[in-house]
Amino acid sequence: MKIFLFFFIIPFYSFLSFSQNKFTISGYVKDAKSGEILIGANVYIKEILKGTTTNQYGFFSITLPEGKYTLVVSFLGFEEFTQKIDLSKDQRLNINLKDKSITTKEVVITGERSDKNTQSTDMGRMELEMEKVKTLPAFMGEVDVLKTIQLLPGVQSSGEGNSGFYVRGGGPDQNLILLDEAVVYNAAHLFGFFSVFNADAIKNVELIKGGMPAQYGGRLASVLDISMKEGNNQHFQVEGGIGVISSRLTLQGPIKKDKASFIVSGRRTYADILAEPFIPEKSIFKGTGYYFYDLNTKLNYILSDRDRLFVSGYFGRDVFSYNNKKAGFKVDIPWGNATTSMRWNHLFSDKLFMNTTLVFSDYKFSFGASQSDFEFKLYSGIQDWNAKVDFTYFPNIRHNIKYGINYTFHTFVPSNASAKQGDVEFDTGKIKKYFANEAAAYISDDFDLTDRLRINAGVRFSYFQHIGPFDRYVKNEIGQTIDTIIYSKNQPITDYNGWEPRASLRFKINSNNSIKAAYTRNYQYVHLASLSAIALPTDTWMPSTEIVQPQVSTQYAIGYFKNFKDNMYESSVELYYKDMKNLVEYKEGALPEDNIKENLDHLLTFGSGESYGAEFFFKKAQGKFTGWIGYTLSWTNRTFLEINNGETFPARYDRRHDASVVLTYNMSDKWTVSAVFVYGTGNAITLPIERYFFEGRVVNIYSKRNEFRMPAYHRADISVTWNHKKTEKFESSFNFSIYNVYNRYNPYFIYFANEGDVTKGTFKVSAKQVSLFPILPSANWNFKF
Amino acid sequence: MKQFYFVVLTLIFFIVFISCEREININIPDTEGRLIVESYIEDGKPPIVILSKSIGYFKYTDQSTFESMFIRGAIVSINNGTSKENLIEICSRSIPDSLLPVLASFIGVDVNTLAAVNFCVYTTLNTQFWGQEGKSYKLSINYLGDIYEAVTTIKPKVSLDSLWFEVFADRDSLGFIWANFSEPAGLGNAYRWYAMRLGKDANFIAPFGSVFDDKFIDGRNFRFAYNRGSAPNSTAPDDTGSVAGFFKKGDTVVVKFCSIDYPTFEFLRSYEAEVSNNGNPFASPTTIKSNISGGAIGYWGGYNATFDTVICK
Repeated sequence: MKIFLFFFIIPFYSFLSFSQNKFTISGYVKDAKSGEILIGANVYIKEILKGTTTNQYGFFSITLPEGKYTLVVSFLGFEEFTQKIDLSKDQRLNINLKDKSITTKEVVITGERSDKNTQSTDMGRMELEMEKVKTLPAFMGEVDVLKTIQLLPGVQSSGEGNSGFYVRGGGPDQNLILLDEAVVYNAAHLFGFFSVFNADAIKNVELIKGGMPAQYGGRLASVLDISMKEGNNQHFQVEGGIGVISSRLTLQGPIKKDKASFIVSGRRTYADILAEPFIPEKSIFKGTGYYFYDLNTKLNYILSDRDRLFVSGYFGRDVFSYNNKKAGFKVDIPWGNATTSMRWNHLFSDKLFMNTTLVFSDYKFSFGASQSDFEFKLYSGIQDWNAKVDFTYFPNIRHNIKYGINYTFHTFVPSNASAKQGDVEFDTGKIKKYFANEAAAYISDDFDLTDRLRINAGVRFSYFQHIGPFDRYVKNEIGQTIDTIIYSKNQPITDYNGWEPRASLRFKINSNNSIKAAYTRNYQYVHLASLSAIALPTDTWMPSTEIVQPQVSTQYAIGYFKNFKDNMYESSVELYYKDMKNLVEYKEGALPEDNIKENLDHLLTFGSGESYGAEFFFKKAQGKFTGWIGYTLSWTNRTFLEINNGETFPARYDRRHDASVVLTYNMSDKWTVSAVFVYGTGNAITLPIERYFFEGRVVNIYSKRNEFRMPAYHRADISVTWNHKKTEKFESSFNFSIYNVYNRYNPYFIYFANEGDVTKGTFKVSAKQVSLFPILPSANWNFKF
Repeated sequence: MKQFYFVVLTLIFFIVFISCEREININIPDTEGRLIVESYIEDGKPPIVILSKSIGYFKYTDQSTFESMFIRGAIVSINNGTSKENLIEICSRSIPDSLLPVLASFIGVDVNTLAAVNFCVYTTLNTQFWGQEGKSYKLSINYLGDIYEAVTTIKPKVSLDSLWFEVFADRDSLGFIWANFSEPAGLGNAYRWYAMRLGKDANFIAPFGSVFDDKFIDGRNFRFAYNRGSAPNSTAPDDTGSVAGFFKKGDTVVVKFCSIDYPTFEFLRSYEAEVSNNGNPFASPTTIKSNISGGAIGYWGGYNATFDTVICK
């Protein structure tokens, strides 16, 4: 409670020190056509060469001494807004930006030229514009933001066609993925080939891979903050698309013009429906099929000049059924996420912005198999109830203060199984759940120390508590349960806390050159343990317990940022070093069935990791010809006492070289051509190096952990987008993509085939490489009316 | 669980309708052979110790390479708690053909193989050192001056209540062998299942997943089934195609149900997991849990078997 009071007091306290003739201009920046708020728009005071950007809710606030100023608001793809202001009292100004393509007939070459790159304290922070993303080549025609962020330096894909990503040597579980502030625990459909984010429902995507500000926490590697569209509050609109594997439909419109709007967006794959008529009724596989779907909805309501309400929801499922009549074997595997968030924005004053969020997030996986009278079920999941309050305080133009608190109640259900044979129920133990409280408080200030030096300094304090009910199995030396400690409901079992200082600073050499440095310390209290070499929906989330300590990372980064030709070109070089502790892996020799009737943490082992490297980035943001080149040189390794005999080994995704080139050429109003090229060092893998014969069978002896490399991965994709002539009522576009243009056989996995008989002297082993996707064209038709 | 991975793989291939496969060359350095110990002692039978060494992964194995993998001339001894006995080395080429079936039944290798390949084992004819229920045995191997040791215990016999054959679903004459089992109370018991079709199989064959412990079934009455295992690398007609894994009406099957100690179970389970994972690129490599000191791979296991005969009808 004391902390809470302290938070409210800060702004009033600061009033005292700045209480001379200063006034505030504040407001929201919106898209004039749809009423959608614009996130990250530049708001700039010409006279003093200083400015700010709109926050996640499109709000800005600037406090200046009394005087006459010119306010300039700009956002990529929109016309610049300029207004003279006589600041002699506090002012509210809601700005509607006009879409550039409507007002001018020719493609505008001079767009927003932002020096954000060199001026802000942000390091390793990148935004994606959905409209740009949609013109890039898309795998099987599915526009996927997670695959686009993999094209950024420092972000690596986890494999062919996969939406999983690794940031600066961190695992996929170390990325905090937020959809309208709700944590998404499993962002993948179909083992990662597609992400759960339907591009039509998304407005903005922001990735923070280093220098994480204090308002974010709970993960070591990155934050991927995805905002859904609010819905058009001007007129009703239908938008949709037909692709090779799925179709999409989005409805949006005003509930009350200028006040309230809604959006509903859905997507479903239809391979199963298309295939159904071709599977004969008598086929033993009848009843086998796969599909996934996503549903996004959002409502927003402007209650008053000071209050806004947002309710958003996401629901998605993958459903796989396998039926083999001949073997009498039947499997059903549904899994997916559901999230709901409710947000209330309130302006206490023109300088104090508050957002209160309530979030429910749920991820479930279940697996049911039956064969004659034997039934087996496996299920796992995680569920969060989360509440938070975030304040942004804008005392004057030199400061931007953020503070807030955050609380989450977690319920983890890692791998519970049940099995029965006829009427006999197997003893698979009690249903295991883990309950935990997680809380955090933070404060940060982004401020100008001098004209050249800007600092963003903050601190986050986080707390985690594992509570009952819980059964702890006590083991003897051969791993058998000899006793059980029973904790009752809400009984504290163990707790952890940590201070997480964050700082980044920018030293401006001149208006086009700056040097930045950042220091970040992060705690992560939830862990994803994976038994397999690929991301499976069976991978289970685990809380910190008496045995599992929170993961901790410390990251140092330094960078040089330079813009050329009046901000036409942006470039940067960033060097980073990251140290990670208490990383989680399964013990060597752990088997999937060991999870049953066991505390999962008994199967885990802990170690440390480090990652370091350099990232080069060169971008052209404006003009007919846009794009970027990213290159990362990095090293990532792991050290676990109980793995690889305690020797340090390269992480699976230790990637020495990782490069991507993204090019888009706007030929005309109608035609856009894009191309993407990626190159990455092969994944580190463990291979068998020797074999022996045992009971007449061949058994492998493996190399040291990840001692070998797969062949390098590289691929080029191209796409052409054709925009049909727009009328007031109807517009459509056709996107044609070719994946893997030069038909590279990239390695997906390597396996070894044994042939012949040992005792007959004909035994032979050969290595086989399996590649997934050859050259693969796809098409996508989109419409809007 | 294996079926789960099977389904996952099926699913991956299901969507990947156009994947492609090609043979590649991987440069794996030749490493030195490690000592492999396959050794066991069964109630009422002589100890059997097979020593071999590992070879380079891609090395082509012809008969002479295979024979050269046997380790000859090691000093192998057994201690039964009261005294110690050095084992003798017997190779299939150096004993009379008439004794081959006896050797074959002890080491679980078929007679034809023993006649074709010079198969070497260490054993003893001194019945004082043959297996006895309840006793512990220590194995010592001295190979090129390095010492490898292990201890195993022969657990009490545990028999199945009843056994029968049941046709599977609509598979006509094909099915599995079922058993009723009352598992003795008290954790820490483990078992291995073998079966042999008289007149068809040369030896007892352990199917994959032949070992289990009582973690989930302690003290329970339940029934379970086993499919039919096949001899390693078998290309026999009934080991390939749709009849593989099934027993058939008309078969006479002898089931050998063994009580084993926990370290033996742990080794065999990790060994079976590795053999069945072999070639599965999604499973992480299994760590074999050997119970032998000194860095050798393998086990020294005590068995105590009961036998039942099932006529499939």
